[in-house]
Amino acid sequence: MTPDTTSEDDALEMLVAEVADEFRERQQRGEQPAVEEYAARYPQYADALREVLAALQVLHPSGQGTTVPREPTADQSEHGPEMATTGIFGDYELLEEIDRGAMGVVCRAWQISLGREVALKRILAGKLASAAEVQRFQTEAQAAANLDHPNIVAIYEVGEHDGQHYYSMQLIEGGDLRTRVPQPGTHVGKKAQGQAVTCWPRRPGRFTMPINGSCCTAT
Amino acid sequence: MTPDSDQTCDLLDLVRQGDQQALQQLLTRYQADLLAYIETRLDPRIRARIGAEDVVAETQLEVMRRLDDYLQRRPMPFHLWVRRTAYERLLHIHRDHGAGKRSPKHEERLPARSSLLLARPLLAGGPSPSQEVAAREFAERVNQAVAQLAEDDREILLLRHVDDLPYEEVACLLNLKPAAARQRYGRALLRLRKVLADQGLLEATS
Repeated sequence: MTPDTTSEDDALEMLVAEVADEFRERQQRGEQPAVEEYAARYPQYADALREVLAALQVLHPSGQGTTVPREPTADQSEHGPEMATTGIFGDYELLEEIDRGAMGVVCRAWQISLGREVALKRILAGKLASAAEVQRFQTEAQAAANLDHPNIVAIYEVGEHDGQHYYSMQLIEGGDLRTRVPQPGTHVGKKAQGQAVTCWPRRPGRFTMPINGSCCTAT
Repeated sequence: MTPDSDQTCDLLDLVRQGDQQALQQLLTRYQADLLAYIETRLDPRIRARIGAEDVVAETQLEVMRRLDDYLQRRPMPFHLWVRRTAYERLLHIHRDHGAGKRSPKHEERLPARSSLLLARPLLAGGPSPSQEVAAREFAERVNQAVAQLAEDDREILLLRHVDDLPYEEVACLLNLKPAAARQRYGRALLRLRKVLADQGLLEATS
């Protein structure tokens, strides 16, 4: 590539950036800006602008304007989708990742104040969009925390740390039910009769098999 | 510019006082972010020889080596400085291993993951299977085209279009003034237009 640094090239580069930024901002606001509007505004660069805006639309097809999945930026990224699976998280020292799903990450963790191993589930930032959803998450976790049954994993703590919602629960060693149950285990976990059992969306992998062979529901 | 979190600032203060454990915690805190950042950008042809984890480790060493200087000047938030250190490591590695050089025409370049990220929105496809196949083929061609861009052009497109960073932060990461970052973005768009046009990918949309 031959870098031409004449002032005309500079001017074109600045203009292209400016137009592209404005074009995308308008798309993000839900407008449908017309390429020809910009071609008419800067007639001397009309051809270049038409093609650059077409190139922009290749990256962001107009119907979906701004649907590029936004990667966590800056500070958010410290606990965004690429959630740390080691290190200190509040009262917990993260030891290793056990499972990962659309909602969050489950880690084996050491609860420092009580000196015990737990499973810690943290919800991905942004996954609980509204205050109502946060409330529901907490209510469900609290409800589960009130259940005391040998076949249901105990919830120890529900909370928020550094803007991230989490709950900790009994750590079940013994492996994955996927290897034990031929069909997704729809009856597994319906053992606490007479009590309201909160149902999370479940996948077969969400059940764990403790060493003694009875069933437990996890996350 | 997004400032560092309170926790990061606290750790930095402790590190300044010589707390080795705080330094460990600080590095651990940014490990996952660093790995994701490097995995996106590491040239796939180099990946066979150097893993992303190796680059993370090298970056952490570099961060430790230059931390005193950083703490004295604090020219930018720590989270940006860590990424910038990683980016410089990557440029260095790519230069050493000749990844930046253009390959002969007949040899198809493997797109780095950064190209895949830029083309990802195209994969949404249409309602019918044939539209989906067409979308995938189109995305693949865009991939190949974007992979032909020079590394710094691709990087700024990635920072603006995928990471959605403001110019101020882009400038920090690339060691430029904000106005220069903006111009660099304009230049990258002009080059993008050229590689897409060469592949005949612009006619399809207009």
